[in-house]
Amino acid sequence: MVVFPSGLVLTEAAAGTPLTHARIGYQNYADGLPASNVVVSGETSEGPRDAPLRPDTYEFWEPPGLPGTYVLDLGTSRDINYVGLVGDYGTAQVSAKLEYSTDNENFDDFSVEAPPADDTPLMFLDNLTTARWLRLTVDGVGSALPKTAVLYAGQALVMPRPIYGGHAPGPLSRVTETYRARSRGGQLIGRSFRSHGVVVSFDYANLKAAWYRQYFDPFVKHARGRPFFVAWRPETFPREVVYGETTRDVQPRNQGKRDLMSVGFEVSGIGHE
Amino acid sequence: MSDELHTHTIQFFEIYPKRCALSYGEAPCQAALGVTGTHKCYNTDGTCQDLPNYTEEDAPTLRFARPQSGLLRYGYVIPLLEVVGVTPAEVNLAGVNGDVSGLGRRERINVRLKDDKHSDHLVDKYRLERATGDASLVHSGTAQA
Repeated sequence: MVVFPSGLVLTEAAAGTPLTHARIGYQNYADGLPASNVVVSGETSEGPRDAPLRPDTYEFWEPPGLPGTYVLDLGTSRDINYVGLVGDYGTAQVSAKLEYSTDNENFDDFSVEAPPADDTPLMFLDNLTTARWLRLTVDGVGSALPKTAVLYAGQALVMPRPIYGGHAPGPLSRVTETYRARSRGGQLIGRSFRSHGVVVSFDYANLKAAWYRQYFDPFVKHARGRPFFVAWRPETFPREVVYGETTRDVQPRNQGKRDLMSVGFEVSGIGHE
Repeated sequence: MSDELHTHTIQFFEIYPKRCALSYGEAPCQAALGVTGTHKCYNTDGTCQDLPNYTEEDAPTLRFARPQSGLLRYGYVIPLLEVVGVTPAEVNLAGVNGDVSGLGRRERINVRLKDDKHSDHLVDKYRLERATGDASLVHSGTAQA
C-alpha cells in the first residue's frame, strides 16, 4: 500500500511528477548500517533489530509488546522522500507510523500513518525531507506481535511517463504453485498452495536517452542483485505495491528516432494477493 | 470442501543443535581474548576455549522451509530448503524380497539445502561483534563445528 499526505498530490503534479507516475524505491540509506545504529523498545529472541537493515524478508524485527518503536540513525543527514516497509502488519492488525528528526529529540511526521490492512509492502511517500533519525511506531489492539522484515529509506526514482499499456498490475498477476490431487476416477481430491507471489511487468517507451543514463541505469545496476519497491500508479491504485526483484537483466532499446529509448522489465516478489 | 481445496502446504526441516550456555569470558568461563584465543568462540564444543567449563544446553531450533510467501507467520524460518526425499522403512518378511537384506530397510530421509548468505542470527551469539560480516550458512557452520 502507498500512503502519502493529501497535499503531496498537488505538489507533485505541480513539479511535473504527478502521483500517476510510477515510483521505484531502490535507493536505501539504511543498507549496510550496523545494528548499533538502531534503538528499539525491545526485541524478541527471534526478531533482532538489525534484520530490517537487510533486504531479505525472512528475518525480522519483532517487539516484545505494543507499542513497538524502532529508531534508526542513518549516520548522517539524508534527503529522503520515501520509506519502504515489508511486514505482517495486516496479520498482526497494527498501524505503522513514521517520523523523522534531525536531532533525535524533536520528531515530525513523515507521510501519514498506515492503518492495518493486509501484509502488502508499504511505501510511504512525502516531500523531499532532510532526516538523520527515522522512528517507526507499530501499535494496535491485536494479540499478535508485528514483524518488520525490511526497511528502505531514500529518494524514489520517479518515472517521467505514466504507464498506459504494456503493464500487468502486480496484485492482479498472481503466480501460484499448487499440489493437485485427483482420484483414479477423475474426482478432485484436493489442491493446496505450495508457494505464491506476484509478477508484474513494465514497458516504457519514449524515454530520453540522457534521462535513462543518468537516472534509470543506476536502478538497473541495483536491480541486478537487490530487491526494490515499485508502486506503479500511487494515486489511482495505492494498494498495488510490489517488493521484489527483476526476473532477468534489464536491457533498453534505442528507438532510432530523436534519441529516445524504450525498456521493459518484469518484477517478481511480494504484493497484495 | 473449499477449505480443503485451499490448504497452504508448508514443509519444515528442523535442526536441534546444542551449544554452551555460558558467555565468553564471564565466570565460570575462563576464556579470554589474546590469552586462550584470538577471537571469541561460537559456543560450540569444537570452538570452546575452556572445555572444562563447557556447559551444554539446547540451542534455538533452526527451522528451514522452501522459499514461499507467508512464512513470517511461522516465526524465524530460513527459506533455503530445496528437496526433502523420504524412503520409507521396509520389512522383509521371511526374506522374500531379494533386493533387500533379510533385516529389511531402514527409513531414510534425504534433505538438500541451498547455501546462501546468512546473518548468523540464532547461530552465533557474538555475530554483531565480529568484523567478518555475513558469511554463507555452510561457511559459518563449518567454522563453528
